[in-house]
Amino acid sequence: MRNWKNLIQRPLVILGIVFSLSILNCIAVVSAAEPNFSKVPKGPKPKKLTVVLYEPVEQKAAIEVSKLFEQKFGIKVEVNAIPWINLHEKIIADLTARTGTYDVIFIPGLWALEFIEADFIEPLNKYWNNPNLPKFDIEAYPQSVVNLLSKNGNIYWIPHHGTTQILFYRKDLLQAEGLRPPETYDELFKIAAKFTNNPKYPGVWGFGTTAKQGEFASSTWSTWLWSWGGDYFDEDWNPIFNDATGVASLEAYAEAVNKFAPPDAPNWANEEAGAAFQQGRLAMLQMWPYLGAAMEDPTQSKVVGKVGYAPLPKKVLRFPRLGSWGGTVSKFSRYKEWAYLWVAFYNSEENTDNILVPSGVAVCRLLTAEKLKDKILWQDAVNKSFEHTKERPGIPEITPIIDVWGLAVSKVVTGQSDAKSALDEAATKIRKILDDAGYYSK
Amino acid sequence: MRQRLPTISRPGFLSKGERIIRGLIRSERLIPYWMLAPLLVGLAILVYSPMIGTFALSFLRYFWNKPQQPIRWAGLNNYIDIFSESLFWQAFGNTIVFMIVSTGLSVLIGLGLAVMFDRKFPGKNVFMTLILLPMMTAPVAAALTWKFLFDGQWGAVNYFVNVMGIPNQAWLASPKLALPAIMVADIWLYAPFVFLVMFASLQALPQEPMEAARIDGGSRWQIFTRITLPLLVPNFLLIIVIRLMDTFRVFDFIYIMTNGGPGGKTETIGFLSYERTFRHFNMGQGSVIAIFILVVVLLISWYFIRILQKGLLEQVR
Repeated sequence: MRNWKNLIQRPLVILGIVFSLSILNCIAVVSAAEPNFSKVPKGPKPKKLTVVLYEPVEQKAAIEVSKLFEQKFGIKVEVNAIPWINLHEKIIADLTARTGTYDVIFIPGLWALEFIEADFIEPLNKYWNNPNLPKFDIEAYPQSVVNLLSKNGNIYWIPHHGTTQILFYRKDLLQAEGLRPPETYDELFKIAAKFTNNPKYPGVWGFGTTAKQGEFASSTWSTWLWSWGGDYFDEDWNPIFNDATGVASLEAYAEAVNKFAPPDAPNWANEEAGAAFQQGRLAMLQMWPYLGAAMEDPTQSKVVGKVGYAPLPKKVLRFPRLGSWGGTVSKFSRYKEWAYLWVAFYNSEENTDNILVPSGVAVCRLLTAEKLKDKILWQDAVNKSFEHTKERPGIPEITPIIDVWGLAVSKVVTGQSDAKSALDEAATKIRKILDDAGYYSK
Repeated sequence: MRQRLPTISRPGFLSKGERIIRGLIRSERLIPYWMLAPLLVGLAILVYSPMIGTFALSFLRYFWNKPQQPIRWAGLNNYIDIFSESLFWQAFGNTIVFMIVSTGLSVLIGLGLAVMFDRKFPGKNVFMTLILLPMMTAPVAAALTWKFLFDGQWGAVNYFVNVMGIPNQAWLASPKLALPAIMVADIWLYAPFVFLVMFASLQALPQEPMEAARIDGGSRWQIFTRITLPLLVPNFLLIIVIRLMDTFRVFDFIYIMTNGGPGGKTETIGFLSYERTFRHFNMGQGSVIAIFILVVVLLISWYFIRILQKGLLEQVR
């Protein structure tokens, strides 16, 4: 009897042990991923921390997380949300003056080397490697995005936001014509032509993008340049964007805007382009996923439930622009460890899932992105787009260079110059900027 | 007999230097300078020293966002770079057009309104308040409002244009329309200021010459062109100088409405100066443009002040 009982019990015991161990293992895995916030900095506790960030994307999330942070640690957090157009100058002004007004600074990957080389931001690995502070599992993020702000083995940010430009399209319109979202730019042109000036679809234009002079034009054209197989520089920093491929990509971009977008499109930034799509004026739009939430909001959108999201098409390759944002700690903050604590807290798995994602942050935390595939309409398109994606070089001279590209693209789009002349002129100016910065004398 | 009171003199207590200083302080000739001194010190700190600093910066290669990089002597290179740049001359051309048209129209409209209001009619005060309302608006708020009004999708301007049977226009996206659209916004904001100054000037004019002309059978137009207008010239010139200086430095409307686009068609010198200094952090090139603005504004002011002085001298003679 005892033997029989033993026989029955033994597998149960073994199963029980295995089950308990697996639960313990899970807990251990979760614990490893989630920072231990019972460890707090030993230094003086600030009354207030200040976070500066880009207006539309993370503001809501940062405010919500800051409320929880205040409850948990008793520190107030002021969130300063600034429009894109002034963000760079505001932050640089503070950092150059070394006032330490901002403790936490959200920056895009594009500004990486400018901030690292100027010694404006702290390497964060020194904080998460400090046994007295909560450890942060940076491996939970895509290496390619983390690397944007890494140098000499140091990691300077936690990139909560990593995404690519995608194609928003009107499911209902395409279905009515028996069309599928375009796989190639040739298909995009054909579909766009079908909906432009078509009496069957009054007031609808085939395609839109952000062609406003400056960052917006430069940003959206970059996707076209890479998709055509072109690039900005060779390995010695010689401009190559004005070669035949670059010219062809800009000609196609300008043709798409001129033929298929409304006449006011050359002055569109993200908000104007998004609004045009929301109001049902466009059949397709090249856009950042963060505006997907606005498309599905019945209080402001006329196209709720009618929008499909697909990766941008390809010419030679599918190569959408990568957009990334992350939290960094100012070198001049008086409370660096507490600032790090806020960044880690903001990016904890719990806050990522419960606050950042519902607020519309395009989270690139690997597990979260995978989980979101079925929950967020555009996430699948983003995940597929990550196959090939890149950003313009994050060198300290990138802001004036972007202005040169943005001016060239705008000139071509508005018919003031042909693509070859505009890009040649841009190449000359950019070569001068890089030459002055010593790129060719190294 | 009046007795002279003895003066208390203690020469032994003051050194020669102290006596000179005391003399300088008490000298009546120097009193105006002493009274001006606080203002001059303030100007030196707040205006002249930054001006000198800007001049010095224009000869340096210095990037504000690269604190690790040494500041280098650039000689005249910043000047050469800026003056050989096509965008600079495009911006200069745009600024001149903006300056002439915007100043001209705002002065004409302001003067016209002032003449219209220089008489009694029912509801005058209400209309005057309505005309002066734009003056209460901050330039940035005005620029944002006009950006929405000129919006190609839902802007009110296109609505009125449609009512007149003209199709929608891409006001801020068209290379031909963007600058005129910004001028409209600028005129809307500043014509009331011109109106206010001209109206006050009209009210202050002596009435006798007009009355005499009326008795002599002068028509309204003759009285306006031959008496009122010449009497208004000094104020007229003053307002032109102020408007020319304002329009030459225009920045906020460009920044908010078009960001210099499309294709540089609304790029102005003021905007370019901001771009170089605060976006590219190229302090040398930014300083060169700032100095250029200063020189042009000084020349404009000098020219008009000379005319003004000439006119006043002739009046005195």
